[in-house]
Amino acid sequence: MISVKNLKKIYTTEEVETTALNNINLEISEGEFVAVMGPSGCGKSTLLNLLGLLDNPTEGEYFIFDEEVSKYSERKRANIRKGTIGFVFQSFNLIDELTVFENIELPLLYLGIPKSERKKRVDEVLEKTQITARKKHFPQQLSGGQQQRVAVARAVIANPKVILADEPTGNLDSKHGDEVMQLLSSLNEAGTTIVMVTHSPTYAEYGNRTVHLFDGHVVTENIKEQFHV
Amino acid sequence: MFRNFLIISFRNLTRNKTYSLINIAGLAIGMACCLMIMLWVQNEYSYDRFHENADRIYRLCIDGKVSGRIVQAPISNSPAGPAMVNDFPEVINTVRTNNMPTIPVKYQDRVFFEENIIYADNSIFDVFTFPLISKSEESPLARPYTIVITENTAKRYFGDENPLGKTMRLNNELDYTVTGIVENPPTNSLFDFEMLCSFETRYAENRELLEEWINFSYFTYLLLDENADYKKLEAKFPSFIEDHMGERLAAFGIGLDYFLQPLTSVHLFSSLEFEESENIGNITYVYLFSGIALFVLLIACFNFINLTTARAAARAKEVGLRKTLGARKSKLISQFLVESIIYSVFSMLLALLILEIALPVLNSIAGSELSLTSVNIPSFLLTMLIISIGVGILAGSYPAFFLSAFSPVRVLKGNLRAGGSRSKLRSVLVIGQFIISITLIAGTFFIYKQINYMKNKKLGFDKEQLLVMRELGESLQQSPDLIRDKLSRIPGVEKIALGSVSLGSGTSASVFVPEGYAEDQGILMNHIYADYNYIPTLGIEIAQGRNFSSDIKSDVSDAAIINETAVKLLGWENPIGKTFKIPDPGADNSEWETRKIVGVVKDFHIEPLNREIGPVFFINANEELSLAFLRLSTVDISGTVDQLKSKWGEITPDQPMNFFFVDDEFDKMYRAEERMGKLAFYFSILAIFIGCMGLFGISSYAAEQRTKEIGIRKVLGATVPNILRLLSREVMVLIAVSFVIAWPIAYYALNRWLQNFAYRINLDFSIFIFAGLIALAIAMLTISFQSIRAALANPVKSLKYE
Repeated sequence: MISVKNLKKIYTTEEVETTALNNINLEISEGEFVAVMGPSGCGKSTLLNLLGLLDNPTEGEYFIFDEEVSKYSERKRANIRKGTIGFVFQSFNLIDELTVFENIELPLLYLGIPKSERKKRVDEVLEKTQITARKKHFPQQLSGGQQQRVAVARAVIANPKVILADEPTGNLDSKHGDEVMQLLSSLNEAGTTIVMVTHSPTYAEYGNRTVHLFDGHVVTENIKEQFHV
Repeated sequence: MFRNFLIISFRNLTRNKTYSLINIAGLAIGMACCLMIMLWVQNEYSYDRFHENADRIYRLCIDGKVSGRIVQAPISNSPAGPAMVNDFPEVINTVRTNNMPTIPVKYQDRVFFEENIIYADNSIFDVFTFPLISKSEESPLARPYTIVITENTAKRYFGDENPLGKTMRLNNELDYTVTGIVENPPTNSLFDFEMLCSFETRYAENRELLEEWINFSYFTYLLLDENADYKKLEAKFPSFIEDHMGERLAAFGIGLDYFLQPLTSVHLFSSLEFEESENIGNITYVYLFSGIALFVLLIACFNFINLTTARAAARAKEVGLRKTLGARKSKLISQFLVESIIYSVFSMLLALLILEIALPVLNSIAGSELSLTSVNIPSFLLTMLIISIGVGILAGSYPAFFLSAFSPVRVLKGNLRAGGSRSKLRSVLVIGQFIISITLIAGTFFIYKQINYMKNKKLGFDKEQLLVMRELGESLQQSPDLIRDKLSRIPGVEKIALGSVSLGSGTSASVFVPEGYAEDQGILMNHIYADYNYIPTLGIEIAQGRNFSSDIKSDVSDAAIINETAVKLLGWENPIGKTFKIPDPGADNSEWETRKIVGVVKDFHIEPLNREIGPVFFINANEELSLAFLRLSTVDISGTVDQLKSKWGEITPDQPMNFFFVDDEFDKMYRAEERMGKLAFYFSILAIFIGCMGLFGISSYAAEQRTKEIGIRKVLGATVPNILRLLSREVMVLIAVSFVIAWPIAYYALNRWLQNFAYRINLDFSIFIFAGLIALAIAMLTISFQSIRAALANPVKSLKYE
């Protein structure tokens, strides 16, 4: 479902040109759980941003459901993104002024889903991620693990085909990290494709494939097992 | 420590250039406005205070009841002043004046029309402070036919010659000897004169008239003793009146009382009929503009508070550190106050520059002659210092307390929820700014609408292309046919008429006794002497009956026409054929002339629209017609005027043609309102500009503060329009609230202003809405730059380094 060919991303600041990604070729099938690993600055997050249509590549092709999207405008990208891709960030990125419920509801608002339907779906997801009791709280009133569970809930609320997670456990202790990984794992088992950037080999084990990046290149791909259907 | 404050302040000032610029420029504009208005107000209050005796001079006014009409006027009779000096020990001296109409004045080959000639007693130099530069006699205005001229006038007529002893000819008939040269009167003076003729001249011309007690045509000023209480003096007036003219007043059926106006309050507080000085101000405008000045300054202070608190996060770390290092809260407060005073002082310097540039503009709009050179330097500097420090403290104290209250632990942990976009105070201040702006915008609209309404309202006659020649002179007035014949042959002249009164430039009233009434039951009514062409030439419509006719010879001696208001007032169903009596103008007071009404004209405006149409009657006459009315064709008006001038030169070679157009004259009457409109316009622009500068500053910080939120929303699928809507919604709500509050305020204020006009517009709601929409549009435009930038920003950047 995701296919990138010769993907290249160059960041240009006033003085320096930095090649963040170079000649990336990657195929991700529906239902896969892919872990992306590599040292700091190797381009993991850049890759995730490109895959998440938050940014356009400098060169190369990007097919998502056989649609070439690498040259799409901001608006078109936003449209694809809305229903197809969910995001989970290391720093949770919840909106401080909104409650747990409202944070999770947000993607549905942008999809124009009616209020009653929104409430039903948010309640379901709250249930699934076990934070129902906290739905009226504001993000600062939650622990890190709880916040990340809210972020995951928000990522899945629109039933995206793929979840892109950028070090979802990076700011969490191991207990909370495990919780979040279990949650992602169970989502994957339910059929959601997941691409996760991580530093932790342990958590990379949750995936059925690990992609190693170094200096903007894919160096190795370890396929643990054929993904289950 | 203080040095450290200064260093930090200057570094902050230079580091955040946009912010500093907005703060300083905003405050500077506010201060410049304030200073300008202060100069103007000071000038208004300075009127007539330059006289050494200013506090002891009073103007004698009458409060009379004549023929059912109550008249309060600054006029008096000529014997009263000297009699008061005689009767009351506290009245030390008196000056009588009498304004001359515009007349030609000639010295050798130099002729000018002089508008500002005043007859005055010689005591004008003792009571008032009009210093004589030179004089040829001890009391230059003591004898008849002597004249004292101002320096400027002397230069105009005499150049380098010595005017003393020279003879000037006034109105082509009387020779006056120049006996003195007086300094030009200052602009902030009730009196505005070019020449002073001796009041004695009037005695020489008609002693009987001057000694007449029942003739209120003069201005009288009294100089009181230092310890005198003018209220006590006023209490003595009734018996004074009884003694000197009780019987006569009773015979005429006139009720009369005198009262006194302190000279220093005439300019701002007098609003009497028959006021002849053009230098009469209005205290309402003083209050109004002082209020506006204060508001504009407040808006600027609000900006300062808003921007400073919005930037709190940036300073939080510094506060935290200083506290950790042992700074007490009071130290921090004084630090921030010093900083805001520094901003304020910078702003004041800039304000002075703005003032210097803007003063000429203000002067041209307001018709004033304000300048920085005329101010008292030490007190001006002191005022500026007080304003700077006052504004610094006013604008700086809230931020100072706000910033210094940060808890160091939270701040240093980076846990401070920065004063984002939701601060209540900030919203209140923005609302305050927009209330002021919307009120001013609405005010500007309505003032212009009223002026437009007055200019375009049907006046009941046609004021376009109507030229009036004045000062026809004795000889021409006696041969009206000569004017008619000569001037009507000029191609551009369509119609020509002669009359005594030009619409729009003053009226003249007379007692009118309707048939069946006794002579002491007359009504005071405006009257116009007119020839048979007057009504058609001016375009006044006949409602009933007929116009005067040149074919009916008896019209000149017994016909009259009245207007509809007069008909209504008299309650006549069939006015045609009714008769009335008026005092015979050619004879003594006791003789009456009877006139028969031959026609009724539709109502028309003799006076500007702030006065209601009153009753008027026309008398057909061939004398007393001092004005010629010429209806010109629209083609080549200036060519026609040139021809008129040359024809005039043939008829009266020694006197230039003096003329005006009626529409100009009417437009002039609305000059005060127009000035008001222009000032309101400029001040609303300024208020909005300052308000928008603040809004711009706030929106940039709000956008900065919300970058993360915007990023998240975009990642979750929000489009650019979604984000724009999110960022604008808040401003829209604030403006809606401002509108709701501004509307009643503006409504109340404008309604009060409109009470000045007898004919006025409605305060329709749509214009208020329009004003609100303009404010909204401007505000949106202001924040759009920041919002669009924020909305377009790549979310990756804002989320990357969290």
